[in-house]
Amino acid sequence: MNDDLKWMIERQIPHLRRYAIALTRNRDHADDLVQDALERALRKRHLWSRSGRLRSWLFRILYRTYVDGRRRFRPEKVPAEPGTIDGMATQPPDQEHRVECRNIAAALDRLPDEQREVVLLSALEGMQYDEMADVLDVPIGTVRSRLSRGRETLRRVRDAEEGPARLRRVK
Amino acid sequence: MTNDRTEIREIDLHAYAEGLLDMDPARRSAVERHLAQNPEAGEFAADVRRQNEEIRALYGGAIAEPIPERHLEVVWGHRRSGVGRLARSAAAAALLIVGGLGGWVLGDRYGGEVFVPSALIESAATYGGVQREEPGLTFATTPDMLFGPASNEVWLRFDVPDLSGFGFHLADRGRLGAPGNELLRLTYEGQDRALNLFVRPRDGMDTGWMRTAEIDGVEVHYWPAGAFTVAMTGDVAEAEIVDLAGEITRSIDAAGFVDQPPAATAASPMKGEPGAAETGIDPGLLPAAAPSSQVN
Repeated sequence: MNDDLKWMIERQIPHLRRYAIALTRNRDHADDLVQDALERALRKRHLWSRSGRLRSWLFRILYRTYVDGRRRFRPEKVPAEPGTIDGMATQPPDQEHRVECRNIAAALDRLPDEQREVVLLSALEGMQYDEMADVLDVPIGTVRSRLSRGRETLRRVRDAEEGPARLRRVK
Repeated sequence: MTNDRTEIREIDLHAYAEGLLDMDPARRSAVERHLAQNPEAGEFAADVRRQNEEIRALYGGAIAEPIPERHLEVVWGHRRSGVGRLARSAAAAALLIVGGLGGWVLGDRYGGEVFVPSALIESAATYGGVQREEPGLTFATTPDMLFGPASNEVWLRFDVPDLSGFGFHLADRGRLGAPGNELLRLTYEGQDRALNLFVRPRDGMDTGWMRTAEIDGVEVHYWPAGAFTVAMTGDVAEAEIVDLAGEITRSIDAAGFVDQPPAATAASPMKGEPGAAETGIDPGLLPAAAPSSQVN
């Protein structure tokens, strides 16, 4: 494997870690998951077609690794703790922001796994339907359906939890 | 993705809200017309975007964290050596040039990978004019901040944004923060108003949305511009903000690597004197075609 490919893979690691953290809600599990996925990817690197997207290929391996080891990586259904939120958030951890993060974390926790997985791919990586279908190995129609239902569920859950006096971010 | 359907279905709303119609302007326009006439659909689209922003805020910090060494060992097959770092720096340099040329086109439409250090926002909000002065526009950093852990130093250079079209001229510049975690500050002045830009390297090459934070009553507009994150404060009319950001991004997004800052630049002091910037920059740092107004 030449250095170009290694370097391109390295560039994807932060993105893989972010998705793994979101999937597992546990940094140790996430790093184990990424480690396993990278080892699998390196073993099967001859299967990557240079005409395909490296990102899709790596995310597909990560997702398959997650599914195969779901019992090991499966998170407990608890909302992220404030300390975890502060550690992951990209903004100064003001109170309002912390509440928003906790709200969305709790709402994501209420989603069925298959909806959560596709919502996270879309929101975090901005993937198109076809790429998500490739990563998750499901038809595009299934991706659309899961995403649609996931968005609607998120909306309902958040509306219900936040009530009419919805907190809004500072600008 | 283009099609002739005139009816707007739920799937169109979802595609629009997820930002998946960017390559299909006709369809996107049709959906936007539909949204204008259907407030409930508009609220749905806004809600999906809000969900995305919050999810990215929740998990975005992971992008900027150092890559665990064990992951790197899997990829590189060994603890990284100086040779490996050199090879990757060369690749990084090549990518930056590509990113600089095509950042807007190739950029992440969501800007979702953007990690904005809170220190940048806070520095922008609390800047009080105390900093060490330094003339150069070259920016010493390590690939760490751009491309993952490594120790060899690289230098990035970009042209001073020319904001004369907005009535601003460069009045002062300097650096804030400790070495290794520095921000570059550019202060512009206009008629009875001033503008501060704060720039620091970031991990990533994409472009993304501008966001605004308010700290202690100071509004800070910040956004990713190629290899840098920019924060802007000052007396700027609401209507100017986007255009200003576009002009600033065009300059900064074209940043390129240089081997090292020319000695003349590093040695030529600015001393905080207004206007000294005109002579404080080695002309070699600016493109031959760059007008002097770029640093006036």
